[in-house]
Amino acid sequence: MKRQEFIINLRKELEGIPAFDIEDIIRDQDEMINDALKSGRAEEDVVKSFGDPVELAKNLKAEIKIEKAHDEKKLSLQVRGVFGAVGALLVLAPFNLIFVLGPFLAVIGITFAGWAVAAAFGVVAIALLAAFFVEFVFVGAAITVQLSTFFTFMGFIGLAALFVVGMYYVTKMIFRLILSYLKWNLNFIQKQAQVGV
Amino acid sequence: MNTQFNKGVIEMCVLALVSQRDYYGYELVETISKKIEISEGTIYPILRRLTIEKYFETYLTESNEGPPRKYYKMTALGRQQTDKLVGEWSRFSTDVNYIIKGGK
Repeated sequence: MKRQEFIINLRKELEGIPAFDIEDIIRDQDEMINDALKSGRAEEDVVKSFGDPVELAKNLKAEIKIEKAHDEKKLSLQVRGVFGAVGALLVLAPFNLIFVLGPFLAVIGITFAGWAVAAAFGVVAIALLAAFFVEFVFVGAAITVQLSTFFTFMGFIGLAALFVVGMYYVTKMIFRLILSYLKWNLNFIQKQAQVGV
Repeated sequence: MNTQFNKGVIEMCVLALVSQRDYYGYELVETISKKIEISEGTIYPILRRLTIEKYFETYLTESNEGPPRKYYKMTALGRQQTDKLVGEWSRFSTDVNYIIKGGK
């Protein structure tokens, strides 16, 4: 492979990360190729020792996606970033179907269940509020019945709010833990490669 | 020799070199590959990760022979990590040598 081809392939494979990072990586690679050529090595030789652009790109992409998700302050953006990072790790190492995707889906499932409970309390609260209005306007139920419906409604609204706030913090913590695990996973993959002495 | 070592060793070599002075990418490859068989494709992801981990800072310097070069400079955090890794390594190699010599 010639230098030009290597750079073109690398650029193509890097698609999906911020343009700033792509340009930075291409700049670094260009610099190192220049230096290697200046030391008198043949172009084919140099490009070969830079490795497979596809593998290099997969590696760098996983790294950058994890880092971006890590730096994200807003929870919704961080959740999206984590999904992207998980995808990149699956592309990088197929065995991550077992080590990343499986546990990830399980944890996401549990988190989702927590939010579903919060939503259920919310739905019950809305139903009670509707019942309160029906009793008040149409049925003309006794004041005690009306009050009891209203206070049950208040209780459920409180529960729903408590759950939402709680789940927000729990979700934040869970995604921080997931990111630590993803980082560890990438580090493990990178360090598995052996070097000869 | 075809002894196989974990890439973690390379990471420590990179840290140890940059702790002594600022290096640019190819310079690190050249220095390490004098002793250890290593290629650009191995070094670059390590450099990037060490920078992301804030062990290195980078700056560009105009070179008189072509486009600017990116230099890697060690941070205080990087120095801590280097000391830790190099310390662990020397203890480990002392112990291994002791065993090789028959535990005497």
